[in-house]
Amino acid sequence: MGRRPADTPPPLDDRPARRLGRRMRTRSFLALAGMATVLAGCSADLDGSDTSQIPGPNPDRVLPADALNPLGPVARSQDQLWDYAYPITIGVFAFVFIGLAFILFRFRDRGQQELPKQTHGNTLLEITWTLVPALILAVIAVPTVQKIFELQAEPTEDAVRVTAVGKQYWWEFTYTEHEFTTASELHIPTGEEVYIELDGTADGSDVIHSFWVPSLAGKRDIVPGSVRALRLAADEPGVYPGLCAEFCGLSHANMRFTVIAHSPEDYEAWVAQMQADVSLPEGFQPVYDAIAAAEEAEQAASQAETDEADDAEALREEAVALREEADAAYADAGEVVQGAIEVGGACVGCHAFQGHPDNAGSTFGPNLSHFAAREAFAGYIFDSPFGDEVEDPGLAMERLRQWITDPQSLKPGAQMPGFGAGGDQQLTDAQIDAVIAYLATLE
Amino acid sequence: MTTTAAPSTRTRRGLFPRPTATTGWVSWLTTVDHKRIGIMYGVAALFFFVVGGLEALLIRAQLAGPNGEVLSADAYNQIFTMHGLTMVFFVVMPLGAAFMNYLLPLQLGARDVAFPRINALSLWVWLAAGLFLYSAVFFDGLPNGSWVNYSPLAGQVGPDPASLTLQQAAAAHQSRMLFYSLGLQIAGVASLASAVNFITTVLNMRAPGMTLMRMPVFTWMTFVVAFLLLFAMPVIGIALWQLMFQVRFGAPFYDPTNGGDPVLWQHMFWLFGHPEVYIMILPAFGIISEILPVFSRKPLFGYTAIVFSGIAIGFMGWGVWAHHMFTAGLGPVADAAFGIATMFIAVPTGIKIFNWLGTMWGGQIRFTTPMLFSIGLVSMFTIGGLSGVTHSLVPHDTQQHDTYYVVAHFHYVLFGGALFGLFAGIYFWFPKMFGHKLKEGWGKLHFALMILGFNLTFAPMHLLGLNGMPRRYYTYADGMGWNFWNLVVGVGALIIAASFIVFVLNVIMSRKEPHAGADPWDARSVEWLTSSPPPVHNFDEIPTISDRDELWYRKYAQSPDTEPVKVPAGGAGEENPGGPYGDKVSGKTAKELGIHMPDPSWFPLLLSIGLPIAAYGVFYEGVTMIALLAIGGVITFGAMLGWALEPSAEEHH
Repeated sequence: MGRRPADTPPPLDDRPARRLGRRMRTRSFLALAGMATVLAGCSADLDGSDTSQIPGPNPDRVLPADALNPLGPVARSQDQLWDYAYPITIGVFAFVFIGLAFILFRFRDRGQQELPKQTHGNTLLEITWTLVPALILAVIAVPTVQKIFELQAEPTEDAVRVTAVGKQYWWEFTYTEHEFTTASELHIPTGEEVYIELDGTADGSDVIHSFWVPSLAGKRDIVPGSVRALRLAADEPGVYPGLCAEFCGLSHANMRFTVIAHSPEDYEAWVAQMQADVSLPEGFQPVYDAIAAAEEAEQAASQAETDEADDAEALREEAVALREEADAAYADAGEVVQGAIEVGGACVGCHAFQGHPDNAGSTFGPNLSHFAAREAFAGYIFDSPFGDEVEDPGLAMERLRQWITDPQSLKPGAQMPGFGAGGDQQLTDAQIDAVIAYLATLE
Repeated sequence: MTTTAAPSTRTRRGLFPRPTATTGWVSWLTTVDHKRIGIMYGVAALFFFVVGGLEALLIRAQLAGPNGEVLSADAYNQIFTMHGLTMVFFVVMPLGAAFMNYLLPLQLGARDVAFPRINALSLWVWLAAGLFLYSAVFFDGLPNGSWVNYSPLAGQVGPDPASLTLQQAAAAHQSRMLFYSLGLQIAGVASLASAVNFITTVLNMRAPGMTLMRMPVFTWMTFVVAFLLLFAMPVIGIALWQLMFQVRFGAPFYDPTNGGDPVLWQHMFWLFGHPEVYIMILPAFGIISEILPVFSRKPLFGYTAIVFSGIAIGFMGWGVWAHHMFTAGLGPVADAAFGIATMFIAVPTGIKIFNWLGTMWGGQIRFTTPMLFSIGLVSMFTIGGLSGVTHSLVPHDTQQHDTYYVVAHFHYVLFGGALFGLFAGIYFWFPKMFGHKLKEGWGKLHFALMILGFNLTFAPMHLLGLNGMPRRYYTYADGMGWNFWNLVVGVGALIIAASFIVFVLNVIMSRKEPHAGADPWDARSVEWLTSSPPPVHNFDEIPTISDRDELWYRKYAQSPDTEPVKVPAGGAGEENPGGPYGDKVSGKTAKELGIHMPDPSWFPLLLSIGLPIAAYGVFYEGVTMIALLAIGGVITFGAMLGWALEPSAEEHH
């Protein structure tokens, strides 16, 4: 990928955010809404919400999902249009409301005997209040059309290209150039244009979702059957919340993601980490081979029994011996090794574990090759117990276990089957412990 | 039943004897009187308003704080979907229709609409559609795809709750989508029938001298809305028909995996959906264009401009639908074209606002309840209109789209606009409909609570949307910064509910109010010329119209310098029973006066029962399906046949 020299300005407008101006604008908005009782702002600290419950990275680093507080050139360019038109609408609003108030006061019924003058209209006035609003709108229309074309222009040559796919109810991101896939976390380098292809033709694209990172760019739908695109960029390293904005079913509200912007160096390091194969624990291979050998022998024995071959009995004995051997190896192995084995049976049908011998490369569920490197899970609604910034590891661990045993209880409509008692495919508690222990190693 | 016994000398026999009752419940079920039909529309719509309002309260209870547990995701999705469908199709549209039915013939100086039985049919079919849609609650649940019901979500089974197997989920999903598509198709039949009826009435039933440009503005807006309905309903009808075939018979109209196109549904839906917005708002514009002049004691300022801007809105309303799709990726050219069109539809709307201000300017403004609600519309709609202009800033609209900012916008337009106007109309025409006014004090309390609750509910939604809160979320996490405003919104919703209780109490307590007389507000148009409530035949003698504000000019002469003076003796006044009203209402019945009025009929009601029965057939397979379709079909077509052959109840025609 071609890198932009550090001193080249980012692709779109890079005017620094005028935070004070925004806050004042929020206030005038309140005035517009006629809400004089409420004095200021609308941020998380004001409403007393508990930021520690936002999943994912350290809440102090999570920036608000606020369209009025753009933190990248695309959102800023969109916001400029608002900055431009908003005072005009406030002006019209003030004109109408002050005029209305004046009229209602000045021409109130004072019990006069005389009837008012019966005026029927005034052509000059009609022409005026047709043309003046039309002219005002024309003034708004020009920059609007300019920006429409500007923001939907073709991507620059050296843009970072990512393919995004929305699935009920999580996001998949494929880094085309680097040939790896991840889920729920979109990592980008700061200061570079990121061109996101919203691929509705990909495997598993189900219904319309809408990709939205309020502080970086407006939203764009992913429409099954066709490909759309969106550009965004971030000024500073940080964590930018993303949301699904098109109603997509039961857990529409639980389909979040996060954009994590790194310095270009950190980004390169992250890419290298993601390209690496899944980690396999020490001592995994002998156990895996023993189980494979036992399975092979069992198959051969069953085949021989079906064919009523002469050596059927001998083969069966051999198979039983190999199975005992394999079971012993499994029992002796550590929890992590056991987990890596169980993942091969229970998880690979839907999840990719790139480099795992049983990996089927399935994209039905999120790619878990680097699960422990992510800060949250289940559509980015719960803290991962393995995240660097996890607030309450105990709670997070409890949720992860609940997620594996009974996903519906945490996220209605989730497509993941429950693996606990009563689920479609059962794992014992010990096996689930082992799977979690293995997942913890997937950095 | 005795009330329907036909005169023995009847020469022709129909399927049923023609009902003749004039009192009792049979007379209401068989009525073809536009006034009774209008009242029934209004009462039923207010009933649905309570239902839709309770749904809104449930939504707000769930979202009053983070991680709400009042509703499950599935229940929430059903309830917000039904809130939208109910408020659009079963509250705002029919409340408008209530006034159109009641007022159109009265304002035109006619005895009834052009097709009285079709008018009754509209009412019953619409009511059947509403009951059919809500009967889903007894099957596999209410529609849950939002009122826009985008495909493929509408076409495919999303994963449903764990308690259901995939097969059960598929069946439940199909049932819900069929209730959506069939319920709205049936409602569309009612709208189409009304549209044809009102257009014909306006064109053919005007009193002598009532030229088009002398028609009251409410009648004009009804005329425009009728054309919008006539052209918009077939579009959604086709889309719904296709959706029905997709979910029931596997025809992949909107299924991208099978050559269909999900965006096609969006185009079809919004090609109907945007004119629908004007179908809902224009009647309210018409209502306040009647009320503002009365309580300013001045003619409507710029009548021609208001009429033509209404027509312009009707036309331009067809060219802006894709502004609901700015995030769908239509490409920059389409985005620019629809963005510009959206901006410029603000021009005719602005013309109306300025002319209403011009009407009040220089007047003697009486702050009655209907006037307060009208002023509420002018001010609240202005806010909704301005936020609408910000939607046309296409690049920024991609931030606003599908957030609470949009929810705020359309509630300012449809609640702050349409509903305030409709309540203004209720207070204004209540004495005409029922003979006495509603209590002014309670009315003002209603208004005060409603405008307070309304702004507390919907103003904070602007901020929530811009702070990143998407709509149609059944829950949100703590820490998103949305807690405080959602709580305020919940409080506002409760105040709106309280305001409606005040309204209901007002209606009940006003029963003993003194009789209001024909013209309690010193009004201007001819419906105030007849008694309150008007006789079945509306006017003993059809008025001859010589002016736009006919009644006003019968009451007040005009000096050459436009200074009005009271008409001298022989004109208006309680002491002159022979004045503008007295000679028009004798108290005699139509029969005594020798006026031929349309006879009541059972067939509109009967026909409307056939449609939902046939619709239930679509849900089933095999014999049950065929049987229900056949029964529904026989009732429907039998009713049509009986209708066509129905004799007159009169002995000699």
